[in-house]
Amino acid sequence: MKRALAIAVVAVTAACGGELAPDDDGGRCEVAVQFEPLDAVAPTSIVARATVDGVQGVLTYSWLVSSSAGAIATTPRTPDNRDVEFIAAEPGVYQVELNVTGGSRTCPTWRGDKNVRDPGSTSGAVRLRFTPGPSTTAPIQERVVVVPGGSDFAAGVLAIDPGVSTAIDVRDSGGARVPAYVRLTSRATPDAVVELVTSVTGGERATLASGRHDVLVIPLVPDLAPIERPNWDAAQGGFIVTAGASVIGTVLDGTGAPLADARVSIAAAGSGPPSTLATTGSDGRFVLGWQLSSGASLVVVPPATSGLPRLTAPLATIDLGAPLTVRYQPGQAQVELGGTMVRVGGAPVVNGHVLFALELADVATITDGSTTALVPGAHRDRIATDATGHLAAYRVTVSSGRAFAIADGGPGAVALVDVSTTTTTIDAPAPATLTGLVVDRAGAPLPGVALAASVVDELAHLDAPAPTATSGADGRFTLALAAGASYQLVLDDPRARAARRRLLVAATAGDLGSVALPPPVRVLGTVRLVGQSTGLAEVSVTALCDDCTGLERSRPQGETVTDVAGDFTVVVPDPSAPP
Amino acid sequence: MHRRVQLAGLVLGLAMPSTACLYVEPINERPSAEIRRIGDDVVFRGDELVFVAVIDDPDRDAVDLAWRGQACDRSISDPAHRCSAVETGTDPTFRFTVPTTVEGAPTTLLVITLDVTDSHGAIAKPRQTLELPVSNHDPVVELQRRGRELMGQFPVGVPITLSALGLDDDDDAVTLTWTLFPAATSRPEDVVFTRLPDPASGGQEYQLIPDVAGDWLVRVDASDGLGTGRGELPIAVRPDHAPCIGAIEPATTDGAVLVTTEPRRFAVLVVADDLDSYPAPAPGTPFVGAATLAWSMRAIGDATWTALGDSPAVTFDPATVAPGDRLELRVEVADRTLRWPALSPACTADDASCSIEAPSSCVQRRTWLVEAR
Repeated sequence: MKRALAIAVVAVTAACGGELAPDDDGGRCEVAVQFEPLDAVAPTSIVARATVDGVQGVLTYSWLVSSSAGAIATTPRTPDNRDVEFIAAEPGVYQVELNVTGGSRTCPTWRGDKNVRDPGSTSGAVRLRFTPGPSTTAPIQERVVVVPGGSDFAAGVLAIDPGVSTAIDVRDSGGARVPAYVRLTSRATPDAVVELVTSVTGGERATLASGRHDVLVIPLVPDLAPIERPNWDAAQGGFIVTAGASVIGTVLDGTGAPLADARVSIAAAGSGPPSTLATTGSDGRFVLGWQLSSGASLVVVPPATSGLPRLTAPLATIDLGAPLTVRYQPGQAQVELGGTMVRVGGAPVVNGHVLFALELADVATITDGSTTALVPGAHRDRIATDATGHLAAYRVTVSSGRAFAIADGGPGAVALVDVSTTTTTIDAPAPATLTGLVVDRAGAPLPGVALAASVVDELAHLDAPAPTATSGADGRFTLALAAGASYQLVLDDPRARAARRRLLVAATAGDLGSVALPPPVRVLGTVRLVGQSTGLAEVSVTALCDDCTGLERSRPQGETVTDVAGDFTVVVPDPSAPP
Repeated sequence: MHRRVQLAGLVLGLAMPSTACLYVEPINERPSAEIRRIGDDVVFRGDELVFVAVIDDPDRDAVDLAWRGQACDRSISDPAHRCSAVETGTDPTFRFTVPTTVEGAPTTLLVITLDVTDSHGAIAKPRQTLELPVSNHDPVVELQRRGRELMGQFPVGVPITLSALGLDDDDDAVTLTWTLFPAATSRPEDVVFTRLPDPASGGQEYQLIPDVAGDWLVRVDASDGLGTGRGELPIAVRPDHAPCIGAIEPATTDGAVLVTTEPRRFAVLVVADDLDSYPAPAPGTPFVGAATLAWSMRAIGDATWTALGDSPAVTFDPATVAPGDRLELRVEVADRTLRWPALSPACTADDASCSIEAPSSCVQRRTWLVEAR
């Protein structure tokens, strides 16, 4: 009724030849555009239909359509040019702008994109992760967009949830606040997590996306067990942590003597809750608090001086209600590797380090009294070398495996080692020189492509060298790698002539041949907060694969940051291109 | 034409027939002439001038006109003067285009003469001569700057390309002289001000790398040999801003324990800076580059940090340490000025985050406290 009255006033005033009535009704001009067909495939004719609301008068419609090829002519479909038609000859993104003038109010310029698909292309899903900068409290969020191959794709406005500030409260059963690590995983986007640490003083808050979360709470104090709260809603309030179910056991060495100072814990499968941490006493006993779940393993890390390997005992067949006994097999010989000379390519590894990855099958047993299981073990230790290339003190159980010897500044090399009492040297081969040619999918060399190699498998560790190179003018590259190691090689074309590619390579000297990078597809979009009309700047936009698992789910295919208008362009591999 | 003169009174005293006519040749009067120029603008080289002869012949005789026009490089009273070939004309109107040069020297004087002779051969005197000074168009200087300009200011230590073009309407060769007026606190030995290869499009270019913040001025004087022009370009140089770490992954508070139960990627997602950012701009983007990252780690209780390289991300696998082990994982960023937090007196090694300059919200260091489970 109020609206109708206002319109009448405007009409009368205008009829009298006076000024248009001010917008005292709070109304506004709204412009919308719809396209036909919805799913456009090139070449095609596209009809754009305008809808204008909240304004009176004879309106003038001015359309501007463009693509990467330039301006595109429109043909009126209505006498007043309200609806127009244009030809989309090529696949890609068509920018459309509509200015509506002549009405009783100023109308905003409508801008939008129309995607036109390549007829022969296939589509692929890409996760877009939005990580706001420090100036924005919105939580990390993800959107899955289906990107058609063969051409650029406009994802449009991606409105992210500003989130709700939520109190996170962790207490023990007595009501006292507990310092704890809390991880909240949105059920809508499970890869985007919010993490925080609570304190004894409390008052912590997290900005969470709307919806329910799976929550993992790990108390940072002894004797309180981590818990998992699936499908949690803020209305359910805080979290109560308790000692959990007790898992009791004893660790014995190969002679059957109690093993003191071994660190023991239960590692849950996946994102489940781990147990509390325990250190065996002089009697070898440990007590763990745990929220029971399936698929876990008991991890025993003996003191370094013991020479015993680390154990990872599957608990699937073990009754955790019974006292457990973990015993190293008798008769396992040990050797002191301290003082062993370490060489790479014949040169001592001076002031470097060696990462050992030694495997031991059936090195221990675990029993609940009725069921006994064999337990594998491993030495996975980082041991320094001195100024003469000799190892620091390191006692291990006789075993075999690999040793990744790394001298300062070099890629290092991997030696196969069979540790025995006669081991006096560890000789790793010289670093491997890997060469190759970076090309695009058509076989043309790509100069200026950045290559970064990182060690994978059990030899991966934080300070493992990560060699880098850049392809030369002829597209060729040379990488010095640790011979015998396995690497993930990431090839990134900063000029976006091709999309990023990852591949696994075994470091052996030689030529990798041609490495073709996938053709790129640019995904364009604008990030806004829900309810806001302006873009959100400095938001990290990371394109991630939707069907990866494990660590690979967090490795970006492409990354960028929004500009001051909230706009972004991120390059992803063309889903139409074969891998 | 002869004139018949009736000398009635004269004959009274002469013994002549009472009626007679005496025919005498009348005296011819010489014409007079004047050169009048159309327009009174200052004369420049290349101008087309129009002159009109204003003639008065008392006898109304027909007259012949002889125009001569010459351009000279200096006053004709100077014995060393040189003049161009004579252009002539016979029409009442004489058009003369001022040559740019006379034997390679700029034209500075025009000499226009006009001789008028009537049909009896009488010449107008004095001879009409018009000396017109030819003025010089002073050269002008177009001066531009290009660089990492933000809100009209340039960061310290970042190259600024200065381009100057001398323009001269007379098409004279223009020489340019560059003068740099550094900010008051600048040290000459720390300033880069070097000439770049001349652009193919003409003019000259210099590269300036200012060493301090302040008000700088570049002056370019142009000369065409006769006149000068000047261009001045103020350049506001402000201190370089330190890069700011934006979004990181995992996005946790510095110093807060981050429990890690499975291999995890730690990454810097955004570095905002006026010079060098991350993700890096495309190669060839003028004046901006990629931020440099430095990762390091130390186990809790260790005094020293172990460098981990400069990649955008590192991966930590909790299986490489014992459950419950804690380590600090640190990333620092710098732009091309390489003002690392680790080298700044404002930051100690134990500071989890650090800002080397205001605002404090802009940090160049982030540290995760990671606990393996």
